[in-house]
Amino acid sequence: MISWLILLLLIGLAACRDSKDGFDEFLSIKPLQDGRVDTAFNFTISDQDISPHSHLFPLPLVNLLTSPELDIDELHLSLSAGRWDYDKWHYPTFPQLGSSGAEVWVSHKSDRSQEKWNRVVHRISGLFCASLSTSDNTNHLLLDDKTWTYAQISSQLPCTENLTPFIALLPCKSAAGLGQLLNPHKIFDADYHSLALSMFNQGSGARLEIKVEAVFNPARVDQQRQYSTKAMFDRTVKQKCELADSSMVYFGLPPPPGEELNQDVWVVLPEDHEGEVKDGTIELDLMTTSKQLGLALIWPFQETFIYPRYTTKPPIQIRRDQIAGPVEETFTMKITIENTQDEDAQVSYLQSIPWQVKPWLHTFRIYGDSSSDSTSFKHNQAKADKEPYSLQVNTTLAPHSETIIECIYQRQFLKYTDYAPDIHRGIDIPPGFIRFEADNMTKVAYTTPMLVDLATPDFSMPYNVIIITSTVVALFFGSVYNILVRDFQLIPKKESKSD
Amino acid sequence: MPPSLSLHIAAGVALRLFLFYATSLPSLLEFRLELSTPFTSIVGVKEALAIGSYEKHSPLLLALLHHLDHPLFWISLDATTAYAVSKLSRPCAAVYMHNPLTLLTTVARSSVSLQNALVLCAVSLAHRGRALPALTFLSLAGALFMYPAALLPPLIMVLLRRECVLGTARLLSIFLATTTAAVSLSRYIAADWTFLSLYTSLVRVDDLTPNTGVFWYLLVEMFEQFKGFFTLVLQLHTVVYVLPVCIFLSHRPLLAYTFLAGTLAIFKSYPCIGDVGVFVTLLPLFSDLFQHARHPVFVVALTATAAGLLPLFRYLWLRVVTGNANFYYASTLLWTFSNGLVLTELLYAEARRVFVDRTAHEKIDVSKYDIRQV
Repeated sequence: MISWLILLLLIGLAACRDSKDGFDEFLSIKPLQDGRVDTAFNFTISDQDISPHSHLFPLPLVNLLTSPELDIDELHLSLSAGRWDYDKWHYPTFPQLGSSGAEVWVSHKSDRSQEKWNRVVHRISGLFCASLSTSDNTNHLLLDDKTWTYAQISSQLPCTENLTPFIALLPCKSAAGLGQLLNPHKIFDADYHSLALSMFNQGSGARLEIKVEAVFNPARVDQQRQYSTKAMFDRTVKQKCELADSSMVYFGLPPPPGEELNQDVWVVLPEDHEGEVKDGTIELDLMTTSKQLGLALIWPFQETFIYPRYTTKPPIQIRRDQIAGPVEETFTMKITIENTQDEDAQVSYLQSIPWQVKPWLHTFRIYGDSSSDSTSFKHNQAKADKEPYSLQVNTTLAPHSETIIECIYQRQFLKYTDYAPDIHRGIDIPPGFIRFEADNMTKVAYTTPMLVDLATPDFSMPYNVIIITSTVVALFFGSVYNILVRDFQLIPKKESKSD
Repeated sequence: MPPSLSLHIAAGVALRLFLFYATSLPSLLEFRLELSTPFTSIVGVKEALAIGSYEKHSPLLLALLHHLDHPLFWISLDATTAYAVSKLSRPCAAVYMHNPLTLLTTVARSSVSLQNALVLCAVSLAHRGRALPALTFLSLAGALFMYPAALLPPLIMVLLRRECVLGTARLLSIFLATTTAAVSLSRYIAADWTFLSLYTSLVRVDDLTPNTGVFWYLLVEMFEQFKGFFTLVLQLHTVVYVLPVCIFLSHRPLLAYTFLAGTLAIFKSYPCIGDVGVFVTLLPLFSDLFQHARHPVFVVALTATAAGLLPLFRYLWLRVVTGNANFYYASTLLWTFSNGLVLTELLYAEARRVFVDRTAHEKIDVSKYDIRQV
C-alpha cells in the first residue's frame, strides 16, 4: 500500500519537474507481529538523458547502461543473507527481495547471448565486489513479454565490501540524507538483510533503484520490544541531502491497543515529532524537518516481551522439503503451495536445480485441491556443465487449498574433476519462488535454499584405482592366457609323498 | 514336457507370482542399481519414455516395454526361457528358474532379463540346429544391448557342429540381414538416426553411476588425458577373448559360448549382477568338469560373499555414510575377481580334462603322477 502510494507520488513528482534528473529517497520502518522490525531503504535516481556528463546518475552505471556490447534493457541484482520468515513477516516491503544468496536478472534490448551475459556478470561482479560466477547455473525465462537471463547463487552472501559500492552510488554517499543510516555494523547484524539494485533503460534516459531491507530483532538482547532509529542504526540523519528532491521516513505504527490490555499500550517518542500521522504511519519529511532524525516506539507497561505463540499467516505460502528417496542416491523434493484466501489465486512457481542433480521426470506430479486443467508446467532439461534444469508451473489455486508439486531427484555420480571444491559440504540448490498478483503488485515468495549431499568418490585415490583395477583385469587376462598357451605335463609323484 | 521340468517351471512361476503380487519387492527393487544399470533399469526406461530420449535405450526396447511392462510379461519371459534352456539340459532350466540373481533381476523388471532370455534362447535354438531363429535372437540381443553381438562366433560354431546345412558365409549373411532388419526397425520407430547414440554411450562410458563393473570408478578417478586410452583398452579387453577362446574350445563350442558370455557379463561397460545369469545357467552342461576344478568351493563361496557385499557396502557409502566409495569399489572388484575365477576354473578344468582324456587314451596310470602346467 505504502509503496504504491510512493510510486504515485514519484510519478507525480516526475511529471511536474522540469529538470531532467532527480533523486528520491525514503525509509520505511514497520513493526512485525513477532516483535521484529522491518526497515527498508529506497534510493531512486532517474535521468531523462544519460550521458557521461550526467549530474546525479553514477558514472559506472552510465557506462554499463550505454555499452552496446552489454546491451542492457533491465537489470536486477540482489544479495541477501538470512531467511525471510514469510509465516510471521508476510511479504517484504520490496516485492522482489526475500531470497537467500545472490540473484542476477538481465533482459537485453536485442536478442540474448551467452557472451553478453558473461560480460554483464563480470562487470557487475567487479563493481559490487561479488563473485557471481555463473558458468553452469544460467537460466532463461520469458516473463512479462521480456526474455530474461537469470542466475541464483545461493552460496554468495553479502558482506560489508558489497555495501560500500552501493553507498558509493548515492549522490550524497553516506555523508548526508538517509545514506547516513547505512551502518554496516548494524545492517549485517540484522536477522535478515538484503541489498538490491535495479536499473531500467528508458529510451535515452534511465532509472536506478537501490534498495536495502533489513529485519532487526530488538528483543534479542534485553527482551524488550521497544526500538528506535538511533538504536537500530546507531546513527542519525544529521543533515539532509541537498541533492534529493524528496527524502521521507515512513514510521509504521502497531495496531491500536485494546482498552484493558496495558501490556499492548505503545507510545511514540519524542511526542513532538514533526511527522504527520496517516493510515497508522508517521510520515516525516526530512527536507523540511528542523530536527535530527530520532523516532522511537516504546511499550511502557511491558516488562519483558514474550514472543507471540500464534501469528497470522500470509495469504499465499510456499514450502519446499527434501525427503529421502527410494534408494540411496535419490531424494524426493516436495513443494507445497497453500492458498488461505477466500478467492482464487493465479500463481507461477519457478525453480532451477543444478545439473549435478537430475530429476526423474516420470515421477513428476502435481496434485492437491486445485483443478488439473488450470495447471500447466514446463521442464527445461539440464545440460551438463552448462545449464541447470528448470521448472515453471502455472496454476490457479482454489480458495483454502493446498497444491503439491513432487518429483524424485537423483544425485549424479561425476568425474572427480567435475566436483566443486569443498563438495563434502554438499551442493546448494537455490530457492524456488512463486510469483502472483496481490494489491495490484507482483509479489514474490521464496522457499529456503536447500543443501544436497552429493555422493563423492575418494578424491585421493586416482593412482590406487588405476593400479588396482588394472591388476584385477591383468590377473584375469594372465590366467586365461596361461591356460590357453601352456600345456600339461605328467610329473611323477615323489616316493615319500605316495607313502 | 517331463514332469520334473514342469514342476520346476511351475514352482518358479509361482514364486515369481508371489513376489510380484504379494510383496512390495518389485517397487523396492526397481531402483536398485546392482540389479540394473541406467541402461537396463525399468526406471531408466520409464524416464526415457517420459522425456523421449534414445540416449540409453534402443527404440525397440522402449517400444516393447511401453506396451508389455507387466508382471505377467516378465514371468512368462522367464518361463519361456527356462523351457528353451531345458532343451540343452534339464538341470539348466532348474538353475535358471531358481537362481536368486535371475529371480531378483526379473522381479526388478530389469531388461537384463530380456537380454539373458534372448542370449539363452539363441544358444538353445542353435543347439537344435535352428539357424534362422537362433541368429535372429542374437542379432536382436545385439541391437538392444550391443555386447551380445560378440557371441556370434561361438554361436556359429554351435550351429556348424549341429551339421547345419548352411556354411559359415551363409550364417554370417543371415546374421547381417537380421541385424540390418533390427536396426532398420529401430530407425523406423525412432524416425531418425539419433538412437545410434546408445551404442556410442555404451562405448564411451560417460554415465558414471556405480555398477558391478570395472569401468565406473576407474573413469571417475582417471586423469582426463588418459581417459580415452583406458576406455579403449578396457573395451578391447572385453572382446579380446572371443577369437582365442573359440580356437581353443573349437571342439566344445557350448563351453566357448558360456565362457564368452561370462567375460562379457563382468567386463562390459555397464554390467550388473543379473548379467552373470547366462553363464551360471549354462554351468550344469559342464558337470563333467567339476572334478577337474582346482578350488571350486572357495570360488563359489567368494562369489556368494561378493554378491552380499555389493548392496551392503553401497548402503554404507551412500545412506549411512560410515564407509566411502572405496568400500563399494572393493566389493565390485571382488565381484569381478571371483566371477573371473569361476571362468578361469572352467577353462582350466576343460584343458585338464582334455589332457587327462588324452593320457587315458595312451594308457598311462594318471594316479602315479601330478598333472601340472608348464
